Amino acid sequence: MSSIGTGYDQSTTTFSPDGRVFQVEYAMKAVDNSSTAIGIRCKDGIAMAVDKPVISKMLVEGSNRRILNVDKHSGMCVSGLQADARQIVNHARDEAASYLDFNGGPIPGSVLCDRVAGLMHAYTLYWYVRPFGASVLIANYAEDSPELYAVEPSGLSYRYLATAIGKGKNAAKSALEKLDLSTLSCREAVMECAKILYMGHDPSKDKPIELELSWVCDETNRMHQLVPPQLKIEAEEAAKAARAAMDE
Amino acid sequence: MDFDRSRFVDRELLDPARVMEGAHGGYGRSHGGIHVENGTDNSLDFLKNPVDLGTSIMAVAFKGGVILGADSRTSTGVYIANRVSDKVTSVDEKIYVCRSGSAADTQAISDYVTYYLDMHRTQYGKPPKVQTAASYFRELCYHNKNNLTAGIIVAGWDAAKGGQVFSIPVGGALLERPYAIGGSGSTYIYGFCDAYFKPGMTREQCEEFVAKALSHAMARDGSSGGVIRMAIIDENGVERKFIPGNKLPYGPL
Amino acid sequence: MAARSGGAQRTVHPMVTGGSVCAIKYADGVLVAADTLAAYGSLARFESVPRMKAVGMAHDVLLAAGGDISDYQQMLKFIEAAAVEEYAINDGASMSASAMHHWLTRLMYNRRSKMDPLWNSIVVCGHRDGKAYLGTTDLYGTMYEDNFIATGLGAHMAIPLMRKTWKEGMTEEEARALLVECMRVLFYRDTRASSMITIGKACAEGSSVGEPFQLDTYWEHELFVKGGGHRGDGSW
Repeated sequence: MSSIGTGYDQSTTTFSPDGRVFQVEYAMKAVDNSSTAIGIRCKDGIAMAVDKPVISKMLVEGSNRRILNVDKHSGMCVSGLQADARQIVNHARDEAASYLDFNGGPIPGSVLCDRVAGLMHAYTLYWYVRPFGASVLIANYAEDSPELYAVEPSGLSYRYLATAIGKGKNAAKSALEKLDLSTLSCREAVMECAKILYMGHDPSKDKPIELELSWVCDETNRMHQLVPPQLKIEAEEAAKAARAAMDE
Repeated sequence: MDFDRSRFVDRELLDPARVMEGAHGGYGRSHGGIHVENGTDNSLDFLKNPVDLGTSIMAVAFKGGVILGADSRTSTGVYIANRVSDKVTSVDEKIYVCRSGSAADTQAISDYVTYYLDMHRTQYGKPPKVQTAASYFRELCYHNKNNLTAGIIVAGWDAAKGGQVFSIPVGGALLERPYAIGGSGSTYIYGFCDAYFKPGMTREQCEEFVAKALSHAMARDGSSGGVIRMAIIDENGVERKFIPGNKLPYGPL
Repeated sequence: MAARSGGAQRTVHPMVTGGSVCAIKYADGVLVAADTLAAYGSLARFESVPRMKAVGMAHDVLLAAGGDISDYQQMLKFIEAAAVEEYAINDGASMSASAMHHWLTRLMYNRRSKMDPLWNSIVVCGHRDGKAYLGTTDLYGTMYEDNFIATGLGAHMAIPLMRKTWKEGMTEEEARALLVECMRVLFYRDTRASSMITIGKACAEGSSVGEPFQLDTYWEHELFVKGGGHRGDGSW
């Protein structure tokens, strides 16, 4: 961050003289401090992945999930303050459920993204709330083609072929740019996700991590779910091997 | 025994052929605070009754599209309030409905659905699906079943599934069908339709099916008549057709 | 209906209705049968309307229903919403047939207490952890479990047949034959029944609904053909 607030950073309801809302930028900083999450959209589906720091050896494996189901066909991968992120996911679930109830069909990705972005934007407008300190990736594969979205604390949202958020987003993004997304299958994308996350992790220096990998694709019958244990093991083995090869 | 036309069972006992007309009209008129004593067919009491679409309507899906058809009679009691009404109503570019039951109710519901579909189109950025429109109709008809008399056929074309027909009878069930008939006149043509309809008919065959079926319904149902209006919807758009009341294809096949 | 005397009156009447449902436990689970007719009063209005569905997150529950079709469809929407919620929570737990039966019973009892019942008789079948489940609930929210269940006119005419024929550990063939016999008797004697039926199954492999098929019927008993009811042969 190039400048600090100098008094204009205490509230979202006051702009700084050069036209910025510092609280929102600080919220994005909270995301940049959090673990890396990536998403890849392929022809046949979407793969998402996030690493979690293992904060204690006594932590039960699989707790504090960062990839969550929103609907059968839709999932979210979050980065930033976990408690804030959970609120966003809960809101997305409500939106998806009410859309299904009224329209009799699954919520399209664009609509879900708009609704989530609307909520997050609303939290940048009033003095009595603070912005969400979390960004989310949305993977949606309903009646349209598979779609990947990212929503930021500011309420901005983008549709991506592949993107990353969190601490290692820049390295991850440049790795993603090297992929041929027009031919990549979702199964391969899962492997790539694991590889990219492991590349950004140095076991000798960084804290241990636990990976979460999910996909929603034709192979899963358009259901968003964590990848099967076998595929996760394969992906992690391949990622470790690739990292070892790089180190040599 | 006190018969009440708002009860299906009573209506069936009073006049089995007109059960589909719903709570209003017919013989034992008594609804919504207007209780007509001794309402005979030649009194002017019918003016107090709601305007009803005693009707013959139908819709048929064919490969690549759908056809909707309806008669044009709107009556209050025995008087024909409108002999050239249009009961084939648009709710979106390529989604139309045939309306039966109370004219006011079905118009209001269609207006709501048109509004919802417009909203959906703006938010979603694409033309809505027929299923979506049908779901809106179901939602309104089911949740307000006690205040509505509406038997609706929703039909249209969308890129995902092509031509589709949904029937939403009084009560608010939602049933997707290869073809659907409705309104008081339809009771007379169930046999005809069972015998005539076969899956996989061409557009021309379907047009003929609609015209013939409706002509026979209109011939036998006093609450149906006038002209036949059709809407043929496919990928390219909507074509409206009109068969005048003196050129109906009625008679031996 | 007391609409004309004013005052809130929300009791609805069934419009488009389904008929009897028959279900029995057998060696490997539960079989359930229903016809595919949706009637409008006495008018056989819609053929090929499904009245049973595999539901729940684990797809090991089978819900069949008679009564108002629109209420049944609404009930399926409630169940789907609950299933999506379970899917989202993703903790490995999912409603069993027993849980769903109790939940639906509360739903139906709450609705009847608001004088706005879901006008259905439902039959809940399921199979989990090697145990079969079969239960029913009516529009008042009365529930019970049994080895064999029939709703609608079936409660009068199929139950006696089941009492006579049902035994513990029937094979699937025996169970199917019994259900077909029940549905045939109902077709012969229930004005709202049709001869096109579906049979659903809940067993260790999960729950599924079979393709609709036509019942075989018999009309050629010698005295039927002969006619002339004055002889007291039942053919009046």
